Amino acid sequence: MNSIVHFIKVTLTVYIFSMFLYAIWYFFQVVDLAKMNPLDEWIGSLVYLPHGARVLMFCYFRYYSLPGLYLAEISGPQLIHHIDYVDGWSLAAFGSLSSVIIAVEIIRWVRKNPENFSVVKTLSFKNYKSLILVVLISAMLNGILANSLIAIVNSSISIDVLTVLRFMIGDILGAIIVIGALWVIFTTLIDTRLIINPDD
Amino acid sequence: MSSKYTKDLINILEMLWSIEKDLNLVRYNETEKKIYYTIAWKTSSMGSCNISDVINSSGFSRSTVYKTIKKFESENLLSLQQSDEDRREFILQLES
Repeated sequence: MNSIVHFIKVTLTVYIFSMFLYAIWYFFQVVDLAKMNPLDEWIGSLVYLPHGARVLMFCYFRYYSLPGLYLAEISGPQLIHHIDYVDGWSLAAFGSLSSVIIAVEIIRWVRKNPENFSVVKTLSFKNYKSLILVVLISAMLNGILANSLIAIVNSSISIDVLTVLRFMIGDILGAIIVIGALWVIFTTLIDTRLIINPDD
Repeated sequence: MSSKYTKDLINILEMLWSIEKDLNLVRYNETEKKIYYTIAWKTSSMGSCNISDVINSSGFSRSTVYKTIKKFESENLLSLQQSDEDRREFILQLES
């Protein structure tokens, strides 16, 4: 019963947080203040905020977060973006989520201690450096995986190096902006004493 | 006992706290920050600020204010200058 309640809470949190980021990202993407994509082409956003949701939610809520994340991946673009995504996005979403899972597993196996290693033991992300490592590895994997899957489904789309690079940069910048924004909110809450300083 | 969900959320806050620590923004606690702001505000509005001004304006105890000012002084954030009008009083001058 506790697991079901936990699963529901996590799914709702993940979905709402992801959709919130989609909504903010939509503003940057459509308004395109930096005029980085004047023709509104499928070339990958340079600040893809939802990648921050993927990394944060998977790292802290682990596998419980996957249904909520996938739901947001497939419904977010359709509900929020005015242009339909390319065919095969639902498959590419698997690739995007897999990139985060693979990144976390790579770090977990690299850091394994042969003396007390456990397959079920989860990695701690209390230090932001581990999180940044996941952001970097997952962004690189996502650029390749998502674009490969889209190219497989769409015969008209081929893997473009520039698009893969845009995916990587967009994911890294987007995730770092999300983490940075959360840090600003967190410090503001501490300064205004709405939450207690953990060192007090 | 906190739930698994709460523990996961606390882990996120601990991660954010680790950023704050590494960026070295937690050297001063809230009390110290408030005392510093009081000195800066008094100096800019009145032209000068002494220890009694800080105690009256901030509402902190004399010992807290003294302890904090000593800390600021040791870290070269401010200097103390004896008042010409009242030899028992010290004027606080923020270092630029």
